[in-house]
Amino acid sequence: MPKVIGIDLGTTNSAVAYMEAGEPTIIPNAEGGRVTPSVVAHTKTGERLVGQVAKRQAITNPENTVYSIKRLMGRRFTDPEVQRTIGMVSYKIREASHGGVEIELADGKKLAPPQISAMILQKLRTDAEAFLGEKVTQAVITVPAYFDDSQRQATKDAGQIAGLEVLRIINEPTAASLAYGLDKKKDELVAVYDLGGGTFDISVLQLGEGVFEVKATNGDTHLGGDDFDQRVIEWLTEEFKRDQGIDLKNDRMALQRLKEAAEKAKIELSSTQQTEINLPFITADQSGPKHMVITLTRSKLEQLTGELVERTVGPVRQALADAGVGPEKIDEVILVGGMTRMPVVVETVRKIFGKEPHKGINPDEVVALGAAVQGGVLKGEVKDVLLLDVTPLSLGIETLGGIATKLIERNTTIPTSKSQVFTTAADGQTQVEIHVVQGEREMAGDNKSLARFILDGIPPAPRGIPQVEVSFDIDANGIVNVKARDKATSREQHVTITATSGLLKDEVERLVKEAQAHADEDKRTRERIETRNEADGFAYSIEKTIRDNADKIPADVKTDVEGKITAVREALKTEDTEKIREALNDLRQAANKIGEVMYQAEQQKQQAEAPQEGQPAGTAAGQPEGEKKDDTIEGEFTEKPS
Amino acid sequence: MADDRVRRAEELLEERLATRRNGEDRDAPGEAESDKLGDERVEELTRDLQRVAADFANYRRRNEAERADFARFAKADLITRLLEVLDDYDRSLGTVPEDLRTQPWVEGMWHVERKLRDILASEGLEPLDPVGEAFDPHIHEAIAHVESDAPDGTVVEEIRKGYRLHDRVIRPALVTVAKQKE
Repeated sequence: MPKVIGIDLGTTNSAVAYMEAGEPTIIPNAEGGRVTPSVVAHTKTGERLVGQVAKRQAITNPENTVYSIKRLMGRRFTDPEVQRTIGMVSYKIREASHGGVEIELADGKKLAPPQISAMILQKLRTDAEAFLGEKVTQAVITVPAYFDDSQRQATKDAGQIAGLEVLRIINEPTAASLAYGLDKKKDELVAVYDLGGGTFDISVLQLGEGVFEVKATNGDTHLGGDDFDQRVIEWLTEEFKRDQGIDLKNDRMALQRLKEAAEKAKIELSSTQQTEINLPFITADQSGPKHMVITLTRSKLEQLTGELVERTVGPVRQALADAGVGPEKIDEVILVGGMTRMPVVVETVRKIFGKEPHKGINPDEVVALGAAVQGGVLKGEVKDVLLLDVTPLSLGIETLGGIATKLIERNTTIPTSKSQVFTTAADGQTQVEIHVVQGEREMAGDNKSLARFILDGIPPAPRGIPQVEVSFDIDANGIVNVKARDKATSREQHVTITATSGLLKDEVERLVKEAQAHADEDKRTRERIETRNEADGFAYSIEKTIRDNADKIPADVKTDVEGKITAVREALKTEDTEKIREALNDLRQAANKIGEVMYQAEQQKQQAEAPQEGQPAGTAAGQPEGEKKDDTIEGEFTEKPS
Repeated sequence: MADDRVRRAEELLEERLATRRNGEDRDAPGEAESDKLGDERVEELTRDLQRVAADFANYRRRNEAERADFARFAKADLITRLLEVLDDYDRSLGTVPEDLRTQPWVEGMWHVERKLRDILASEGLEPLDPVGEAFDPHIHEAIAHVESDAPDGTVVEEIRKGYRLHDRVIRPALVTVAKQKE
């Protein structure tokens, strides 16, 4: 089925997204950027350029480089916004027949604003097709909430010219709300604060039954990130002039470097308290080169741009007044636009509404992502049958010492399956009990017990030898099938658990919270048991080594090690983890001697046989068993009294 | 595990198709109605499965391409940031006063600079050489349009170097472009 793309057709930048496995995802453009400048150019050779490339040649081709086209969409020539734009841009804006607007290029060619927008859409579409590897014919496009019918129609026309069937035109604040999943809530008032590259919009929306109604909008069509950068540049040039007596305002190269440095500093100050603007050799005079090294603090930046942030407050208050609600009545506040990354902007919004605004989704991308969500809903892609569920809690089995060993972690998408090989805890153990548990706690006893079953008929063998494969399988309905199979005999047992879906959401939340609350304590318990298991296993394996090599180990070493084994066994009778650990370490030290002695014996034998090849004395050894190289993992079943 | 899921989806598809074929063979009267409903459901689910399987195949393909790209350009971000230092070297060592040029200390600085450039070159970094070429916004960024004797639309001066990493331009050259004298 063809994909629907969601497009944020912005004044300065545009972005495109689609639904990937139920999640909205940004589609990068051919140059690798996540947003595309809304700039179109026609070169003298008749080539059409869109995006970053068009921007780079703007100065050489001012009359044929069109930007800010959104300001002209669907407007009459006499519209004050059009008149204001005429004074701002380098290309020619003319009155079209019927009082509309058209762009006249240097060669006399005339283009209507929707045709220009269509060129931007066309690039987004082509890049999306290249990225997705399939044709794209349908789109959802966003517009500001204040756009009237003719502006919406112009946007729709642009889509059609670009070869896109525009499934729906939706409001930018609505798209942002969708990206945050607010459509799933009911009867709420949402405020969307959008401070972008060149415009500021505030919208108040009423949400009811999944539908957003615009209650009021306001804003400032000429306020954005560029103004902030400009304030920083002005400050830097003034500081430099005061220190060095040189005016950088007419030095193009210096200004270019200042602009880049100012933007970088502004971005850095969103996460740090101060940054250094370090531009060596910024200029030169008779006395030699001049360097600019200035520290800019966050508070200085806020002082420089405070007035700009303050200018957003009036429109917000007005929008609230028009909607007939007080700020305290707003249930959700959403931040859109790159400038809302500035801590002082977040703080200002927080102060107005008295609540924490939503952030977390990239504010430059949130509108396009929301448009993609809308596209998914329209295509029925967000359908129950395809909504993949996740396991709300981890699933695992109880292993030696009562530890809950997880096989399937919580929030794993289902259907899924996982298997792991376990072994026995005692010599000659012929059966294992599989205790299936669910939950996040480290100890099986603290989790919910789902089922128990026994796999018997395991051929008697020393502990650690049998291999029992335990597999978990969860189907799409959450039904869990647990199977245990002895690899040697292929005997198997299984159990099917259907009740796991019976957990209520509250219960899941409670269990997860409980696990968090007990995390430290549980970790200590687990460590204690693991130390016990380790000590027990090590003592066992050393005993075995001594038994197997009785003739090779000198009596004194043997007595010493056996004494240490007894100490470990004694320690294991207590609950004192420290004591167990000490005894284990003592045993390790002593056991090293066994290895040393055995290697030396081996070496002497070799030297006797081949005296020319003397090997350095090996001191390695020490930790027999421990980690095996096969796929048997450490962790053993509870010993079942049989 | 993801592969397993696709395989499972494919198996289910086949299974369903097989069931459907059997159903058609059977064609028992009275069952026709429910079969029809069942068929619709099967078709719908089949479509869903196809879509998920296709989505995943595409995702995997893209993911592989991205990973291959990532391995090659993982360093691009750091190298792009280091370009500022190269720019500073261009500005400083490019303007060493005449009387200092032969000083061993200054010579040493040139060696330091060359070492940095050599390291970056061995990583695939290559400066562009735009002067005299026709202006191309894919690899050049115009900062000024100046009257000149040079042919219209050619690059007159390189204000800041542009660089290529392997075959990708990681920063366009900042240039002035010739305009015909009026």
